[in-house]
Amino acid sequence: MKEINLDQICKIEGHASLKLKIEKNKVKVCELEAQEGARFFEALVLGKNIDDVQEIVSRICGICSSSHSVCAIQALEKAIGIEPNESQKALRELLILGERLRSHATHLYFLSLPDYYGFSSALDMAKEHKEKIDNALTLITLGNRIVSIVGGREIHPFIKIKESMKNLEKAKEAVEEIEKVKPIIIRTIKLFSSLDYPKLERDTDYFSLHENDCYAATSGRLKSASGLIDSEDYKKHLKEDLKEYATSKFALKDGKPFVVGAIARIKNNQENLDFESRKLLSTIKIDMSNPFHNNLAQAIEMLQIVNRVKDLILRINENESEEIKIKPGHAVSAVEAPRGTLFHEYKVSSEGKITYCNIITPTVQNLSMMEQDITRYVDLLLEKKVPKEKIVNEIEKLIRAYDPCFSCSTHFLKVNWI
Amino acid sequence: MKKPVVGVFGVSGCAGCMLTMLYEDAFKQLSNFLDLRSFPLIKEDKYTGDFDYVFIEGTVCSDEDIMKLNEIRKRTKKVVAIGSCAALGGVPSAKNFLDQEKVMKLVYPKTNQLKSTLPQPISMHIKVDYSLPQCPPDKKEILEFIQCILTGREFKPYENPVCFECRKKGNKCLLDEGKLCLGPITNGGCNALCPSNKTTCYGCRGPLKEANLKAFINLLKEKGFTKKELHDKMRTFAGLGFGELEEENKTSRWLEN
Repeated sequence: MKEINLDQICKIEGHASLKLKIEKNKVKVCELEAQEGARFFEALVLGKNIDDVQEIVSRICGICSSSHSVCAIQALEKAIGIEPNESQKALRELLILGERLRSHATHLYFLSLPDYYGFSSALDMAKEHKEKIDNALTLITLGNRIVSIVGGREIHPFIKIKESMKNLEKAKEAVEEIEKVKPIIIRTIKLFSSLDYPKLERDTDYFSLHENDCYAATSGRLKSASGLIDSEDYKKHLKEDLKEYATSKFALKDGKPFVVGAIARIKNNQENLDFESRKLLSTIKIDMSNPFHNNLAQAIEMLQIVNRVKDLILRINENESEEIKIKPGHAVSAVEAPRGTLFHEYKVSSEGKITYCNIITPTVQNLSMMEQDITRYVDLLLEKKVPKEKIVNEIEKLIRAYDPCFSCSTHFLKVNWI
Repeated sequence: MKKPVVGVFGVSGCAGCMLTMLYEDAFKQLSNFLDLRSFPLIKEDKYTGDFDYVFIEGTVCSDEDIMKLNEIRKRTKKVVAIGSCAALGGVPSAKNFLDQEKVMKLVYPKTNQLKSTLPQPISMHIKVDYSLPQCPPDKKEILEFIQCILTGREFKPYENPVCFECRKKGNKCLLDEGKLCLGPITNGGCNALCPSNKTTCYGCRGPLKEANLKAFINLLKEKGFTKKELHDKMRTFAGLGFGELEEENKTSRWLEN
């Protein structure tokens, strides 16, 4: 075997391909390439009014449009010197959590589970395991509902500076819905902790937001093995590299590959999970050094999400939108998108126009570690003389465990407007 | 009756349209009543036969996108452009109105690394039989379209301005509040979703065929909006859609005079 080429990796968000060159039974070259055309979002917002930014950057990604929207609004508010009130903060976290619930449910049941049940897709799996797809759709519907209550629609929500849409009556109904859906989440956690995951160990750094008193989603400092840093300092630690074979950039943290996403959040913040989620986590065997266990981390997070959503809904109250005074400024915001930490940075002029924008998405931060893990895993499989076809399946399974989003990754482009 | 063979694909885009087809009702319809052979987002793409209908999302942003479209077109009876990107160019196509060389240089310091074509709606490259613009697309409209496939009824696109539905809902007019709303010149069918959420219409369903652009521009002039403000708004979502209208009706000249 000299080469493995996957021209179109399916069951992931966006388009990507992989090239492997093998010499003497070892992987020599591993190139993961996003196959999305560049869409230049950072350039499209330049010169735009601050009120128009969220509508544009939301379109970077349909899966994590709430995260991009909230991250942009938070950065812009910080830049022009506005502090959201507690109710607005709760609404934004609801947008992030509703989105994370449906994203995890989609990934676990539609993209990942068929790999472990031996089906080529969720469509085929549905014939024998209809209840699994029904469970997925119930969880997705609840996630969609949470996003819609706050954002007015399921994808690309409406959210504005110093204002958020809200529907208190519907929010109360959603609390009742949560109680009905919770048993499905518990079953999901049990199901995903019973799967036979491949064994793969790696030594890496886990990167996520961290708060002292809650499971961080929209605020906090950045935690990793080397301690805590402020989100404003992200550029000092994250360096981006454009590889010749890819339109997306690859980020390194302090010169090394690292991991963001559900598994990083659970690793860094498990003591901040609510009592029920923490208790359930202690009963399942989760191995943070195994990339395949990201699925398990996602399943646990679904329980944290619904418990937290109930708390948050009680905190929202009616408030009138206020007049905004524009001051020029420059700010960074970080939020935990479904796939990991997302950064938005803006400079705003005294006329309220955007003069600088930089966006770093989670998948871009995971790409280097994905390449390393693929190399290590394929070496292991080659050693065991696993046939090529099976290796290809296993590589796809590993890539899918990361839940990558290639729509997002190709917009990691540095823009310096002169 | 043999189930119609269907595929769901994307060129460069955000996957929001494909997700709309995956969530809840649309997915149940697709998986139960149609023969869904290709959907790379959730299914390995090994099918090489022909399709009765293919739904495509996204903007054409690379040579690979063009090749993919041509390949799909050859195998498909009816191509459906789903979402504002595929139907009109969408948000990414605002790049058409910027200085290409400047954008490229500033975004990529080493420009030779990037292959990028001008972002365009898919109809600039292949024949499109039906368009379902809106960002994100309207679930009810997708369901209605699937019903048309199943019953053999011809799909009729909505042809009234956004204002028509907006007034029916009793919303306060955002233009009256001094906000630049494209409702009067935009094709409705969205049940005035944005104005109902206190957000101005960005024209994501594309220009209304019979739009009285001249009257609209006179109104904007009276309200003191500038040419740049109108162009910024028109080019945010409808991309090239309004671009054609601008050319035909010479919006620039009207605004300047």
